[in-house]
Amino acid sequence: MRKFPLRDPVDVLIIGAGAAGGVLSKELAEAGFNVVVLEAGPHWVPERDFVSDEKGAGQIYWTDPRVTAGEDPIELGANVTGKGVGGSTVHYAMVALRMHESDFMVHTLDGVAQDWPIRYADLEPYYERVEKELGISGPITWPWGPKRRGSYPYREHPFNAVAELFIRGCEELGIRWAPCPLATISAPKDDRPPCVYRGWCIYGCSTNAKSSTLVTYIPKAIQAGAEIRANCMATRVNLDGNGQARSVTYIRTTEAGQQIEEEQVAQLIILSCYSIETPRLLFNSAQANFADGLANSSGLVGKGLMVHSAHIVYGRFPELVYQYKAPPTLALTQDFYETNPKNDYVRGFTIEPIGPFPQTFARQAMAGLGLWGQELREFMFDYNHYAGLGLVGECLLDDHNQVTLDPKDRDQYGLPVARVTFRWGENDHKIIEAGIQKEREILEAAGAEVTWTADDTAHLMGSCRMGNDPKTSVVNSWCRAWDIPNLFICDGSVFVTSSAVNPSLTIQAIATRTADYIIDRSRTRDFFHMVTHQNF
Amino acid sequence: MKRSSIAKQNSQNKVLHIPSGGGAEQTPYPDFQITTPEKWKLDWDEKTRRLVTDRVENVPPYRFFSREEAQLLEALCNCALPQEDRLEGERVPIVPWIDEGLYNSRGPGYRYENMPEDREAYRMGLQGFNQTAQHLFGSAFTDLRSADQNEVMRAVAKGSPPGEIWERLSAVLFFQRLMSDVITNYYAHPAAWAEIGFSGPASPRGHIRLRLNRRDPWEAREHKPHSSVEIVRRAPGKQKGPAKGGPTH
Repeated sequence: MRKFPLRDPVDVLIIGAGAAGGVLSKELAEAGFNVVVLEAGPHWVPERDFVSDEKGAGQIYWTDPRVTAGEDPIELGANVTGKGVGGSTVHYAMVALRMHESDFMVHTLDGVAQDWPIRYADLEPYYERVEKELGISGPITWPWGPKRRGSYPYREHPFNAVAELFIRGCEELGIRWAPCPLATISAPKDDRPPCVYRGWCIYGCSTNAKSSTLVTYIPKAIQAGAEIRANCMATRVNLDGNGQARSVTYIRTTEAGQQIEEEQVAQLIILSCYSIETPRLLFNSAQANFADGLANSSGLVGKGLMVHSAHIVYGRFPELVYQYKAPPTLALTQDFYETNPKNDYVRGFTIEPIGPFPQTFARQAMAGLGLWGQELREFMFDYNHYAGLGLVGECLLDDHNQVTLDPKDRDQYGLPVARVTFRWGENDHKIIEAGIQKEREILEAAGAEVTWTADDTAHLMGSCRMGNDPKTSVVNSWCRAWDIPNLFICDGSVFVTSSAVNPSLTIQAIATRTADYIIDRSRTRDFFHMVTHQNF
Repeated sequence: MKRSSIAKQNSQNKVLHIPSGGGAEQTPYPDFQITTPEKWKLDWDEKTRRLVTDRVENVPPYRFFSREEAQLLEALCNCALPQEDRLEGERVPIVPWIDEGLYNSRGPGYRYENMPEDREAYRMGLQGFNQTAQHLFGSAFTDLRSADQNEVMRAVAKGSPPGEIWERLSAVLFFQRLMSDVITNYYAHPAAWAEIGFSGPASPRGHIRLRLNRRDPWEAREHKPHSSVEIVRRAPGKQKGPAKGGPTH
């Protein structure tokens, strides 16, 4: 790997080597830019680091301290964010869905939230590029949303028992279903072998079939000359006298555990730290003329944080399910995705089969059924007879839901930690209710003897949303901060609405588009001019 | 090869001994062996062998809890997940691992706004259980008979137990935290995997037979189902408090 000297300015400095940072580093390095990526966690080697063990996988999650608050505080830690090169794509469930056309214009169509400053057509070519790069395995036909211009690059995976039961229930009820497009390969790609259905996907893939950015975009970025600087926690973005971003201060943790403060100067800085750490870094970078945090003249940094309602219904079946085998989500339905005038709510949800491992399943039985003691232990003897369906329900934009700095708690670097405040809205509650009802109907139609529900949330979206107006958004449609021309924010935090699909593919499509914009602008005029002029 | 490295390699290749069915009395999988030489070779890659063998063989010493606290927590864990069907020396250790996590400040990565940090929460929560035991039965938790201990647990789980501590510490959130730690550490042990018929580590081999009622020959064979239908029907129902799902999809 190429190493850049510390004090020489690089062209592009990216903070965070996850879904977006991985894409940006590859695209920009291949276009000839000098690129450095700072990543707070380690640089994983899948064959060396990823174990077949639920507890032992704890290292791949962001478990630095945070505070969760509000009327419906969300579960953070392993439930929402990754740490280390590859970010959350190391542990995500690989569900690779596009958003629908309607998702970008919910204000126009449904009178709620805000419209995105871009439309589906703007992202379509970028979805296609990312799907090709990751080698998405998906079906030939796709019943929902905009018509696809081509087929998925790899064929769909075979079904496991949970998917089989889900499909049985759907067909019984006349609900359309499809095999789920997944970011794990079904045939060899480059030097990676196909999936062996070991089922440990969300604890890190030791087979190397899972198309996390760790094993797809990042190696190509390194090949093209990017430097991935692991174990480097960005603590502050520094500005120069003209209000331009100048450098990033970070703490590098050495192998011996020593913490060393360093600074990297760059012409262009891109924050890709996701919906909690991106606003936290902006707040922690408050300085003269930016007392409320960087890029925050709108007052919207940290606001409009969204999650998906991910409520689960489990059904007990007479048959043996062995729910731990193969990727958890091998099929899905989006029949309830769009606004339906017959409903008393707007927008909708996706339903996805899941396959939790014993610790997660037992915790959900504890919280969902109130089980403990001998009853819990005996309940768990029946683990292999359960199949669960999970919701990906839309959550409407609410600026009350936000990330701020906690006034009291500090992390291991002495920095104020993020405080996440959340509550469900009325429409969210109705979607949850309708989603749970539908999940239960499908399981019962498939022959479940008894069902029960576990509350859950998944994913993060928003907190630095994009828009066409500097007063009502943090970045423009190209992810460029309105207030600081050479600062970009490019990750899930720019989402305007949550949609009802897993967000990773959209994050990566947006990152590819932002990279194209930077490459394109720097070609037509010189790069320095581009990074210093807002209207360019 | 140096002597020390040969010794190290031998210890990694030694098949971990776990009794069939995890040594559990009522398991539906009484003959399931999670560490047959074949599984050890094809499903347990070297790093997983090392991690789990270390977990089973090197139970950490107490460094956070006092002797009295550890005894109380031991009694709480016996209620939270009883293992009376196993001989004393064969029970899955839970308290030493909770101690280890707290000693090394390795938490879940967040705290609820109205909860103190993990270590303080545990110190307070343990006191709280004793206060509730005093209020309800007039003695310390460890001195109560099993049925009364369960009564105390039930009061805390429900969310408004007697005891001054619980005015400052959410009983529901502490109960969930305790249960969550018990579950994590119990179901991190291969004996617990064996008793529920979970096939455990699966690298590099993976699985071949994925469909309903299909089982790879090395997966657990169910003898007599232990249906949970009745347990679910008479379960207390959803715990108060925030969602606690963990990563699923």
